Amino acid sequence: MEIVLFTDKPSVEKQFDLLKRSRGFTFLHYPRSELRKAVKNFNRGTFLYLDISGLKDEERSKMLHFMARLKEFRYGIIDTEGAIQDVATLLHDGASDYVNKSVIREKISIKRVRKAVQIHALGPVPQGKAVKTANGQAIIPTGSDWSTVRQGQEYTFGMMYIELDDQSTMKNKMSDSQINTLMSAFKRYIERSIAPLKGRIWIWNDFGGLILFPFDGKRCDAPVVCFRLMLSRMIFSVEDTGLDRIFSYRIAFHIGNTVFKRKGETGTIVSTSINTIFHLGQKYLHPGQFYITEDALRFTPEGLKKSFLPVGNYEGHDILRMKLPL
Amino acid sequence: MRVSGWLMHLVTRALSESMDVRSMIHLARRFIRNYDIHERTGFSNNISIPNKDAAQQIVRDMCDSELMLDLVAMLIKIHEKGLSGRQYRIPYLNDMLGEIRKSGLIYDEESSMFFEDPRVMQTMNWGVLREFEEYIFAFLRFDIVGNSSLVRQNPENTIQQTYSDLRSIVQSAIIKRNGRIWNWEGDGGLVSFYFSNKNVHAVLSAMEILHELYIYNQVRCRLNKPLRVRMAVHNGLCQFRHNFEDIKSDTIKKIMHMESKCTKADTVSISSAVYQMLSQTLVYNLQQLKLDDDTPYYCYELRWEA
Repeated sequence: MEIVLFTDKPSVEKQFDLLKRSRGFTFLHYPRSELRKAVKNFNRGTFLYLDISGLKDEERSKMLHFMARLKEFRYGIIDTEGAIQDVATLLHDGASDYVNKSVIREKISIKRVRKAVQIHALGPVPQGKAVKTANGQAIIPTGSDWSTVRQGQEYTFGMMYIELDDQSTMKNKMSDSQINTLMSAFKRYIERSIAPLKGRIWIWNDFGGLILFPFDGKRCDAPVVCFRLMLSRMIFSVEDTGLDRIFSYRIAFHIGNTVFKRKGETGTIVSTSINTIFHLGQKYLHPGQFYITEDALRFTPEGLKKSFLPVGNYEGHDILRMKLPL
Repeated sequence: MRVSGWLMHLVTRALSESMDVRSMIHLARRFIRNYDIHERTGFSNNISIPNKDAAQQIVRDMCDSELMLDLVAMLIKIHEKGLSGRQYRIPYLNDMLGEIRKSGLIYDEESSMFFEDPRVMQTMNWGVLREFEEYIFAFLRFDIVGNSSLVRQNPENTIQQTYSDLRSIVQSAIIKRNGRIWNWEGDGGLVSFYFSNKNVHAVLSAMEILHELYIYNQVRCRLNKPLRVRMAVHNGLCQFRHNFEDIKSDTIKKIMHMESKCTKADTVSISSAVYQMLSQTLVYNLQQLKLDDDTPYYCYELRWEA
């Protein structure tokens, strides 16, 4: 989680050392004067601490009013001079933490911040930004890369499921070491293919996995990567595997929401979009095919859309499949 | 390539520690006919030359004749397969390879030759092929279909941008397979492959270009109609010349004929000579056709379900 402190006093900043060192938090520090400008760049759900010490009455009340209007963030107030008379009102107005002189003498503990984060729920996503997918999910863009994506936050991603076909034949006819070599080659090939669009392998099982692509809410080029992978099956088979046979794989693509957690920490994620992409890939998708949900096709480059044919509806999503080369 | 003193030292030691003078002379004569070690060292014929002196002289002479890389490549081969039926254990091979790598060259086992590391530099002769010498290359020839009408019907900057995009597509497909663009005219060009699986690399490059061009036409092309190319792949002897205009080669004549007279738009023609070198997996999607002189050739194209 991202914690941002606005203060001009190094002594206050020093009291946040525990948070700086904690792996669960990303800590940023800004001068107080940059508050209004800086909040525009933060992700929804970021926790802000504002130091109001030394402010004149009028200035202080303006800043508190500004903080109370920030419905996309949680915040705490640092008041080392005891300037706020009615702390309860401050909390009623939306503050999640109040740090006075006696508290700041000790270092701010991780436990305290974790509790503060849970006090207030975030406001709804502002209407102006609420672009939605065809199925009514609010789109929470990541931006065009991973630089703003934070652990524990929800975003909309391009989701690609890919899996090698014909697994039972492989298990019967190939040795374990051959399968391992093949899967390493396959994974490297996928990594190489998704890298230009900043895709990342997020979950990887024995014969395939789930890849996430950042999504800016406007256009998604990741299906072009899937399209290219479908055309290049023979090139992969000849060039990367070193085995004289053609390997086939299936791909499903969807755009949906999930909380982002680091690779390997995804076991507890509850996300209907993740369920959708896995069900689509494992239960509905046919071998050697590339299926895409209507939600994702909307954001695909226009010229590519005519290469897809409708195949039906699955779990409430209209599904299309890529016309295949013969 | 500039040969470092350390490399000369390593090769000298490798020679003197692994074989006798007689074997060294035998080895040197593989590069320089009638090589006379006595004449070169100044030792009279009835005096036996110490191993170290013979090795030093041979290494110096190889270096002066720009045959140092060939000598090291030969030592690698001797280490693996022996020389004239006798096995030799050549020391310092890894050190020699490391020293040569510092000059931006890497060893290709298939051709038993050194060539430039494509991550360091990319020259027309891979840093090692010699002017006027003949080698067997695999070639990929490509040509834009209807270039004149495209130029007439589209604004100049659109044409320039599109052709530059095509060059990027070609470049990206061939560089990773160690190909070199030998010639790039306004509407087409010639790519050569020499090292590793050159025939497979040429065919895969052509296939990838075809795929990428299909995607390009769907997603990015700004022309008033799709950008289409004809491609051909063929192999054969060709003299290497730094200036492409000076190359006179029947192999190149043949590939140009194949591309211009026997290849449909959006397809790749593959000569019989190249076809023989491909794996079963790769030939699976090729279709057999006949050239105008009745020799068979093979065609790859992207065909789509209705």
